[in-house]
Amino acid sequence: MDLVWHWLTYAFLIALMVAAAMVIPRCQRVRPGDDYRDIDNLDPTESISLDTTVRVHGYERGDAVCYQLGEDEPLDRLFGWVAARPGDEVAIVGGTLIVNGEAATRGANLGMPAAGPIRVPADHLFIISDGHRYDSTAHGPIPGRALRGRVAELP
Amino acid sequence: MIAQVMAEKFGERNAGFVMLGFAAVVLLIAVVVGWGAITRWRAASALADWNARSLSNEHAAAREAGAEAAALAPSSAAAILAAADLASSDGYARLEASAGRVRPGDRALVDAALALSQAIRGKDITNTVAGPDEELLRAILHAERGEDTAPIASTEPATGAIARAAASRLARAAWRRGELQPILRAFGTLVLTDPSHKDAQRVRLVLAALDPQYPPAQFQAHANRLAAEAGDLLRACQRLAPERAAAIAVAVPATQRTPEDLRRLLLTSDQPIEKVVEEARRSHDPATNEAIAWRALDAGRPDLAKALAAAAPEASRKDLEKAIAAARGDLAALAELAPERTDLQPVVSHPIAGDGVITFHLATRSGLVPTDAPIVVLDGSPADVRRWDSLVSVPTSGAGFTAAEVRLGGRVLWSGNVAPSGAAP
Repeated sequence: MDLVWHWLTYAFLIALMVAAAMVIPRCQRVRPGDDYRDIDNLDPTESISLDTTVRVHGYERGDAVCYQLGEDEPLDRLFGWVAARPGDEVAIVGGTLIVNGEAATRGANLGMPAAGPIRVPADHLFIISDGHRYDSTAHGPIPGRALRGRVAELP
Repeated sequence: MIAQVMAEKFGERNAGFVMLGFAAVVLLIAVVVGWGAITRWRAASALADWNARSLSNEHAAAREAGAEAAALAPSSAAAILAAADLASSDGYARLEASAGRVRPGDRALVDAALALSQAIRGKDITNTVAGPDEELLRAILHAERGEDTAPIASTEPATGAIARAAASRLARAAWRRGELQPILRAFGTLVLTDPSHKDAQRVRLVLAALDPQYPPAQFQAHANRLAAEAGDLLRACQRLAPERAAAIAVAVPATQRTPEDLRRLLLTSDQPIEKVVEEARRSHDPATNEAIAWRALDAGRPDLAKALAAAAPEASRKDLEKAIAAARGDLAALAELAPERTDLQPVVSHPIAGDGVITFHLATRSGLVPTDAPIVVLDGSPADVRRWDSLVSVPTSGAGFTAAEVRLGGRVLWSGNVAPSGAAP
């Protein structure tokens, strides 16, 4: 009987550890840097829920995303929306960002000269923000290794 | 318990030696495992550093971090690729030597890197690469060899590093070829694929110059940012798209404008015509003076055109002066400039004396009326002249025949006696 209790205890502990390993990455939070101004109305004092389990192909167009382009603030936590996924066709026509023939859902007005189309490379996302300082219009398609995770919502 | 069994079997001392040996082996294994763990941790840390450095475009620091990672984890594909120098044949040889150590699952990545290295060095591609990467690598190879490159037809996503390498090389090849559509295609791809490329500002300026929908103020701002380089680039754009030449001339920095740029700029300028004429006069360029003189004429300002005509080219000056004279109604000048044109010679109808006035018409046969009033001399004295279009009226007090003379621009057009009212002419 004791042996059974021992095995049950071990099984419970292992299950607890597995559950923690699965849940904890989904329950992380990230706070924007104090000087980060690339998303309109983003409150730098409030942290945002971050799901770090999502991989490149798990993102949908319009998803809010946290990524990094360096180790120091503000490059270590940047925010934006997924405008295009790997294989999507991206172009700028009349100053508007066009994805697969349609205007992007967020930040479509870029005020840039006509360019493209290009196809977003494998394992990359085309990310757009309001200020366009650190998004794909300034740095190109963002590689999967730069993604920190999907954030619940951006203003 | 083990010690007891061993002691019974081998004796206390021997058991101690065996256990010591066992402990040494365990310790050795622990050291090896521990050292392996530390090495892996350092390699992972170096790779993370490479990732951060390469994302922030610190290429030299990224290369160092990659080399450290490769030294610590020589069989890791990520570390090997992070350290690879694809632009040199030495780098290719090192990568090829490392390729055999990577896991079979990662071999395709290393093969793609090897093929990219061959393509950017203009060497035949001997490594196996499939799909859109192969198409891009062939295009890179053609570009490096100065051969024609066809547009990329694949609808599948390529590898990021290969897409970036292709974008910059195809843009450079297109610029060398100097054809509008390939330049638009390649520059547009570069600016979206690698916007932080060292030539991205220049590429954006070219795209802005060639995009008719791009707002002129923003185009001008682009050109101002590039300052000294903008002039040459914009002149190249004018050659690529002559129909945009006037719009592009606006953005050429003032210190780099050629007389042709200034002429285009002034011809399309929305400044008041007086300012445009003033700038044209300051240019001391005959062709600009002529062009702006014609613009002033179109704007109904022959007076401003006349100020520029004197500095117009000799060959076209006479035509310009005739047009100015015609616009001003300066029949005297017109007659002087075109003596062979009888239709432009001013003609006076026979003056008729009325009730205290002498009247006549003054015009050319083609219907032009002089702007300047004629000088009418009655009985040796200049008389007051009133005009309604071509009709000229001169008050007279004399009741008998009056000696009259009509002059225009120093020429006598008519002279004779005017019969009093009621007398036969």
